[in-house]
Amino acid sequence: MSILYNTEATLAERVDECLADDFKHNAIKAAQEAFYVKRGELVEEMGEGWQQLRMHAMEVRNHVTENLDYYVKQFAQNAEANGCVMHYAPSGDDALWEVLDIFESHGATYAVKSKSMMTEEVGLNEVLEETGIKITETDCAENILQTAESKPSHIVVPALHFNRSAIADIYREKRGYDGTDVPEEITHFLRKILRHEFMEAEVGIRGCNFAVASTGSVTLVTNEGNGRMVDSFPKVQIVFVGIDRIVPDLEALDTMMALLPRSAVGAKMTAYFSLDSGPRGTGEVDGPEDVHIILMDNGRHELANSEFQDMLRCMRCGACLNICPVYRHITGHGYGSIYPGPMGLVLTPGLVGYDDIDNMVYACSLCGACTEHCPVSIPIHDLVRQHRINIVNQGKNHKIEVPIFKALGLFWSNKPIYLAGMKLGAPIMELLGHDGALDASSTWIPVVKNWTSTRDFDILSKSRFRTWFKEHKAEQKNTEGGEQ
Amino acid sequence: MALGNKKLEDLLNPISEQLGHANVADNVEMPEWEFKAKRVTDGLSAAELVDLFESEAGKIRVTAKRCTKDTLAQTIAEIVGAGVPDSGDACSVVCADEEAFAEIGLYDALRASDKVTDLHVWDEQAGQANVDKAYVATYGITYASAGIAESATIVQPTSAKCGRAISLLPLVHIAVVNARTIVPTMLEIMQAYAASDEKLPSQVCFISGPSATADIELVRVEGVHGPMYVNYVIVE
Amino acid sequence: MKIAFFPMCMIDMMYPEIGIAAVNVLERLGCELEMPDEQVCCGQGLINSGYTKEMIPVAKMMVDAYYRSEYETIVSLSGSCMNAIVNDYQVLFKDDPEYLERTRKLKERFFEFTDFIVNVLGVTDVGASFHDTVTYHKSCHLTRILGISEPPLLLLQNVEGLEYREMEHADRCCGFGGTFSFKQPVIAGEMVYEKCQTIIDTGANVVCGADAPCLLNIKGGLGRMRAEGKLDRDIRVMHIAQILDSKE
Repeated sequence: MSILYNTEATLAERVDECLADDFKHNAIKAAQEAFYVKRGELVEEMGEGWQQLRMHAMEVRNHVTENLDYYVKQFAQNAEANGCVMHYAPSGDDALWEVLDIFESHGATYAVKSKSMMTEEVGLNEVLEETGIKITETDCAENILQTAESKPSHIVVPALHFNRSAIADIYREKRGYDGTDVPEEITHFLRKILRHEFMEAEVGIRGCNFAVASTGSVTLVTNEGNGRMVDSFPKVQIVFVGIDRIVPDLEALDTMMALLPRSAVGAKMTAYFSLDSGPRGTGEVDGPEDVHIILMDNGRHELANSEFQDMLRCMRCGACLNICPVYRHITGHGYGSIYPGPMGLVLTPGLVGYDDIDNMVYACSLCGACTEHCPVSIPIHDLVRQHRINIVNQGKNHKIEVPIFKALGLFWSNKPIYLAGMKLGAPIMELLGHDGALDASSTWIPVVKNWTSTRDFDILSKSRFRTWFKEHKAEQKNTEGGEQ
Repeated sequence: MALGNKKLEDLLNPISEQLGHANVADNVEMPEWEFKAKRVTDGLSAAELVDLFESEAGKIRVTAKRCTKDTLAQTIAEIVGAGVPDSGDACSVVCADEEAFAEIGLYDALRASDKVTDLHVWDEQAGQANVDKAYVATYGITYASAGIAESATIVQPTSAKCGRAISLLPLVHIAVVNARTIVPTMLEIMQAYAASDEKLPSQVCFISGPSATADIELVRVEGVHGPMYVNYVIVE
Repeated sequence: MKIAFFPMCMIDMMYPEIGIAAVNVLERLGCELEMPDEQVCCGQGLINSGYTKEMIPVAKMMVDAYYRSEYETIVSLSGSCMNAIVNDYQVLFKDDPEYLERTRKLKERFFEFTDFIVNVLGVTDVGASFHDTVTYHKSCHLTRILGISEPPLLLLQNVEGLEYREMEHADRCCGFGGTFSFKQPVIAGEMVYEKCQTIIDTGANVVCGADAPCLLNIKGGLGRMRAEGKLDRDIRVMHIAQILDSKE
């Protein structure tokens, strides 16, 4: 299982680590800002069409989910009819087994890969490397991460946590780069070294943004063109397709593509969008001779017909990350999952369960910005909360907090206890406070310190609003009585 | 259960079970969709679509030029003749094998150009040599099957006469687009493919501008793995 | 017009002056207010932390307090707590048809304070005056989930002497999030400092909002920044009701 990483650290430790890195923190904030502005302009340009598109995408995706078995089958049969070799992977381990089998049957030992979350999910790179297969990440950022042995901090621009000179140094040390720190020069160095690899590699490994059931086609969206290179030159191609990537037909594909690049990077289209339907045709001299499709479930079917069913609409655009007020501070590394941010808070426990995720689902203020921006209208923040409800109901909450919440429940549902608490609390707080607030000097008090370690906390009022209101009404009555 | 060698049923059964389906339906009708999205291109005339295609091209750093069928060869020769930075002295061109190109005398015009040092016309018989030529070429010239006005996208299907490499490996991609084929959105392209009885090409690539990245400090850099420069020549 | 008033617990516990201001404004506009004394808290913090079972008695008490035939219109001084009552309770009572039905009826009767003034009473100028520079924080649940974004701004624009200054990302979460701010103090702190900085950057002397919990958080953030020397002037934190009740 490779969805979670850095699990030896707690959420709090990971957050501290991220906040201590000013460069990373600011880089993610800048990326959010840039994507947010560009997306906003395009959404505004579409006017009411944007909401209509969202609603239509939602009904299409829901229809597929409700008939998921039918559409998975239709896609598989049509892809096979296109000449693809189908491999079925109920689990991630099945997928790995199939990939190794493909390498063995082709006698291949060298692959190039274009970014794919599904391959990350099963930990493909590590497994291939263990068996002596060379695999090169070809997306610039992914190549930087692979060369630096680091993890993505952003879903769309994953290497933002390195600055230009760090990146230049990585290539100086590992690949003999001798240029300057200018991004353009580093990028063109990558163009040069990777070009050769695209031509030499025997196998191309890629993901699939949407799979079209009616035509058996797979699709790939990239800006750099690495996806197209992987798709064009290695003789053998392996395509990872999640069962939740399926759209019914080509018209639905258009709807998704009208939403995806706008939501992901604030562009009407990415530089390349390829619709691939089988291996190279008669007379064609490039494109793969053999296409293997790994159709993978890995826990997704359990989301269908569950309280998390809406999550199967997700198209991995990252719009929720780009608006999330928590993500901008803790970055992709804070969550400890390859699926970070709001969508990750829903998907990660949906796929791996609650046992190993630490406090992840509490890293959300339930502000709802993600839900508002989601192009397929997933009620993301409600689903995050649903995980919290499930955690409590399954008894997987922290035992230490239980009495606190039980007490709160009692306090808020019992007026005499509430009023007694106020009567007791107000003078104590006044004693501890300065100028009407508990300040930094109060961090020795348990629970209270959870707030006052970072902010001041106003103390309880000595009088209740309800008391004033009662007196006020009585006064009104008296005045009215007097007037009569 | 042992790993690997799973059948389609092994994948489908748990899904059906989760959905409460006794078995996979033989046929599922698509519902009448409740929502239809308004698009910015709604109501635009053919001429306005071409204008939009051209102006959107400018926004995605594509140089767009208009010409007629009679001036097409000349226009392309001029683009090639003008050169691009970093291309060196050699100027090799790889070109799709299009009847339309032969008809307008493009190949002759390029051969006649004193700038062009090598012209290769895609030839399915030549196999890998086509890709090798494209690998070192400065210019790749294709005839797009259509243009999409909304996003200034060109539609480039792969065929025996036009390999993927031509629009991908050279430093510069020149795509010829017939103005009559410019449609409002991708939807019209998808509908046309859906209505066709023919099998889809092995690849239909939708190209919108030069290959680009912003992976290092969000600085936009063009020419990552694909072409650094893209030209659209709109034939009216 | 007879109105049942829902102040929210924080007004009762910490900020009676905000409740008083709101009552003054509504009464000046001709409303006759009542408040059921049994109401305590909407209990939102429980469901947001996953404790639905513990929340049910809290929610029932709230529904019982306001579900009365004579309360045809209920005005809430909080968008977030109102959202809990009219929307979250439906999740909570999904297996309790009686309370589910009551919650649905309550949803039709509930109005948020600023929305009520503008869209029910049809008033945009409450006759207040406030001669100072003011910025407004758009609380998440009020703005995004209840969709109430214009009324508070309309009301502020019509306050005599008030100079409005829009902050950057006014609708970005301040980091309160109920129990989130206790469970994740470091993240919540980072969020509120950023919110405070956007407030400071407007140059306004006053920041206002329509939800007291956000104001508690923002005030706590500004106070800490002031104490740590990151802010060199006083910025007043006010509820919009207090501004609408002003003659300054």
